[in-house]
Amino acid sequence: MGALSDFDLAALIAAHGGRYLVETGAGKGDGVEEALRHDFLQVYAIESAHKLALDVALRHSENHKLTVIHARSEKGLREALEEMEPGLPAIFWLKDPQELRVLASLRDLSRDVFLIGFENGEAGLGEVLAKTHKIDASLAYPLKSSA
Amino acid sequence: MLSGLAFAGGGAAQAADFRFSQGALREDEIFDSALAVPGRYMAEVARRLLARLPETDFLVIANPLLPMRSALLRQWVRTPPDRPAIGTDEDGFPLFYIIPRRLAADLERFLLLLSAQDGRLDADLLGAVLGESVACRALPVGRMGTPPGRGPNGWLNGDRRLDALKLQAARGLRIIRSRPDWLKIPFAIYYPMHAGDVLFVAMASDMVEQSPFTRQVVCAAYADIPGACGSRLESIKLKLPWISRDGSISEATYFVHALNRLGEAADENFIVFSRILRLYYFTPFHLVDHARFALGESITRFEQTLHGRDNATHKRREPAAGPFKVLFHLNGGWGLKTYPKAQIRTVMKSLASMGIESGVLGRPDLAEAGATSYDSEDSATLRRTVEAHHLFVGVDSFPHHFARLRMGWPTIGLFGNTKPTNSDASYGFDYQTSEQTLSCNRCGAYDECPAFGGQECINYAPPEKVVGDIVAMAERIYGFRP
Repeated sequence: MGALSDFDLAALIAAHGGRYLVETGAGKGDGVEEALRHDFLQVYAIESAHKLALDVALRHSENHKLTVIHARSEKGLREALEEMEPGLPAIFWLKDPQELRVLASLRDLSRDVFLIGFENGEAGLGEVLAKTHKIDASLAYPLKSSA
Repeated sequence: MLSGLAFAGGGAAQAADFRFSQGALREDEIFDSALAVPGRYMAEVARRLLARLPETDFLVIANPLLPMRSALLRQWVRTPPDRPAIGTDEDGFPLFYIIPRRLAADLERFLLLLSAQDGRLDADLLGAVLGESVACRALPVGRMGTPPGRGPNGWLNGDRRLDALKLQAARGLRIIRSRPDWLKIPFAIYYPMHAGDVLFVAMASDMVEQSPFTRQVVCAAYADIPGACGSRLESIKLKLPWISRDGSISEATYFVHALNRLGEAADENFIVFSRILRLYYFTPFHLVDHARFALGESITRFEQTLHGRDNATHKRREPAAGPFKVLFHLNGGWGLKTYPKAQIRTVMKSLASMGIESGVLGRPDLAEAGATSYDSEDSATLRRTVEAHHLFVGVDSFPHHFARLRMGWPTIGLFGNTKPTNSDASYGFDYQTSEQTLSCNRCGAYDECPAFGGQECINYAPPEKVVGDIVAMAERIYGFRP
């Protein structure tokens, strides 16, 4: 699956100007820890498992640059996008190809960056991106899959 | 036990003792609300005393955390007081509060902020509100110590949740001292979860004529509920997942995190901690009424309560075209509150054999029983889903309360290990509950039955009763016969 720390976030921010980091499947918060080392306007961590979401949220309750959303990915992405300035680029750290479809239906993704960490890595990714018609595949940075 | 004294000029005095009501609302009883802070009970005692002795100048009110009679207060306060003060034990734990009439009559809402545990803090708070010094006077009565897990006057402190009251008092004092406009700062009730409870507070707010509260702190996951339930309270969104029910985090600890998370909003509002300060199921009172009392309504007569209101619906509804449809919600907030799967499969298959279609919220695993599963992650979706069915049948959880209390939809409530009277609706033509009425209800357990073992609650009505109740209501309301 890989980790957010596998990426050179500073370089991605410098190249594409990501002002938000949105992570689905935040788990125990390793990605959050990494994201908070960078100067994002806001970091959104979406996690459907209540205990995991609560643990991460309480650990960082004083950090208002982090919003932990306890929800399934689609609902969580909707909540995060409602708060995000549409014109500001974001970096999405995603765990499920379906999330790309959700994003494409809700936001102009042409300035955003996608870090794809789902199982089987690139398999089917091109198809997903093509179907959304809004995602520039050249802006996706698929992880080397361990599967 | 709650008590107080009232003193008026010319030597007139009045003593009063009250009990926490166990269900009746006699003249010497005060509504027992699980959501109300000690200061709310002090306000209620003050209201009763002012009604009995309108010319009161000073009131002496016993600390609601302690079971004390007015005779004891009289031993401690032998002459009419002429200035506010707090009588404490040798550690500074408040025993009683001497307050001037204007605090009870005009500034009553600030009583809600009292810690009821730290005399010096409360004296500073009242002093800031009154603009005069409030003395603490220690009495030779020994030491009260830390309030126990469950105190003799019914207060809960098993997870040190009463510490949250000290926190609210300290923050309130800070706001008053730092804000010249403190008299205009709104009061917010802190009752952010869970979904059903947010609904109860929202509905209560619409029933209370006068309340010091204009806002409610609500977890982000439930942020749509107050609006969907007609709340008069403005929501302050708390961006934290709701607290676990397993007790792994104390209410006071969570409250600290909540205040951190609220940031500026915590300094822009007087936030009153109202999370389950007493056990709610010892009385038959509905949780909406618990919330009404906490929000400021006295509730002194049975006909004022939710159970005292008539269910006015007695007429049939027009049958809709197409097959008869029943929507189920089967998952409560914990294991024992979930209606057993094997039994609901029997219910659904039995209904199907009669041509009745079953829908179910969030249970794709019941597709093999013939039920269509619906996702419902917000109130608007839930409303549409309920409206697409003739009857709603649900466990003691938000969808049940929303369908019945808010939408007025024909509903059968399934109750297992929670007590119907705390969260049902007015019974009648289009509402009823279905359970076994076992004497072990309400056990208070979450995952393991303490009486019979196992992870299912046997107080839930068996399939044949649930099916019978559904068919009977279908005929009663829609004239439907299988």
